[in-house]
Amino acid sequence: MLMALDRRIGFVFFIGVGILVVLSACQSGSKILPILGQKKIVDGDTVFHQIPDFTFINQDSLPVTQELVEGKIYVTDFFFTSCPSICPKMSQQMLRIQERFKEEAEVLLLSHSIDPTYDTPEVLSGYAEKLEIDTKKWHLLTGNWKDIYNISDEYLAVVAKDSTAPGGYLHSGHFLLVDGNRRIRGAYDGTQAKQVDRLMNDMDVLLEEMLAEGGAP
Amino acid sequence: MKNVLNFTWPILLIIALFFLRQILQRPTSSYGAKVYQQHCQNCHMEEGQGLGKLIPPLEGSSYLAEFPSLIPCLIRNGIEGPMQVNGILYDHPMPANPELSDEEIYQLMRFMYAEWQEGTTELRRDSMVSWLEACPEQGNSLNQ
Repeated sequence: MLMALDRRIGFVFFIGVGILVVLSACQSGSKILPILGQKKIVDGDTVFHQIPDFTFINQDSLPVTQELVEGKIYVTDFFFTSCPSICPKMSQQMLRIQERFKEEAEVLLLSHSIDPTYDTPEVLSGYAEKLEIDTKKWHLLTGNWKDIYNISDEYLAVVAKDSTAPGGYLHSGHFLLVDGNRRIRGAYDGTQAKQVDRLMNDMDVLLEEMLAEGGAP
Repeated sequence: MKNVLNFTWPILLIIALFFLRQILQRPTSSYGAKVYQQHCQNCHMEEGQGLGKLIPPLEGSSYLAEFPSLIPCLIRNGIEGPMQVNGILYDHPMPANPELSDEEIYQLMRFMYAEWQEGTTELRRDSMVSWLEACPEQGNSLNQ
């Protein structure tokens, strides 16, 4: 009788452990980030939305192109230095990402100014200095208003001139996570610490995916 | 029936204590705090800590302690040019807040000084009104 009970307990324990193992495998190993943006079907193959080539100027007056981000994951946003509304919050959260991934060479941050006429490289450089931005990892970009406006569309971000908005520009405070093939893998509210926590977890997932696929994700 | 009552009153007491704790621990939800959240927090942050060397802190700010009479105009008209706070030089313009009423500025300052200056500066409504009346038209001449 006792033996039978023992065996039954053993069986229940075994099943329980089995369920736990399966659940934890689902939680950690198999999380795959979606690919955002419009998909196209070309010759029966699905072609995912990809950020096109770009050329901007950074805070050190150096050109920054798609070559900089090749094979790396990056977080990007749209801001301006004289922004009186949500930008300081976004910069505060970007600084958290910079800190968390400071040893990770495969991670970059790109912030586009949507007020490029005012935000010259000198102004951006001053901003970077005041916030102790690591400019090897985090580039502040300026350039043609039209180019920046066009690429904001590609990043699915909202950017518009609007005289009624604080500071003269309307923009969403989104952070976009982009993989090594310039595909958008996540969009987060860059003013909310909790969403940025989620972004940083997703960055770990993406880095793992990149490792698993041997370099280029 | 009596037994049931004997059994339930400690539970009720625990629930009551729990709610009491919730009420006591609730952060200041004053009117001034609300004004702060809507008009100041995006830059000066949740704890008044500011941001790097870009946006000065309010928490323990030497500027708030030294120049309370300048603060109302500064809130209303904004400020430009270099400013020294706790030994660090800040030089980033602060936008104006013309939409705030005298009373809103008064409540905001009461909140800020209570929260981040440990209430050492006594603020009175009538002195606040006279400080605001003495504001220059465009408040950019307030640099210290």
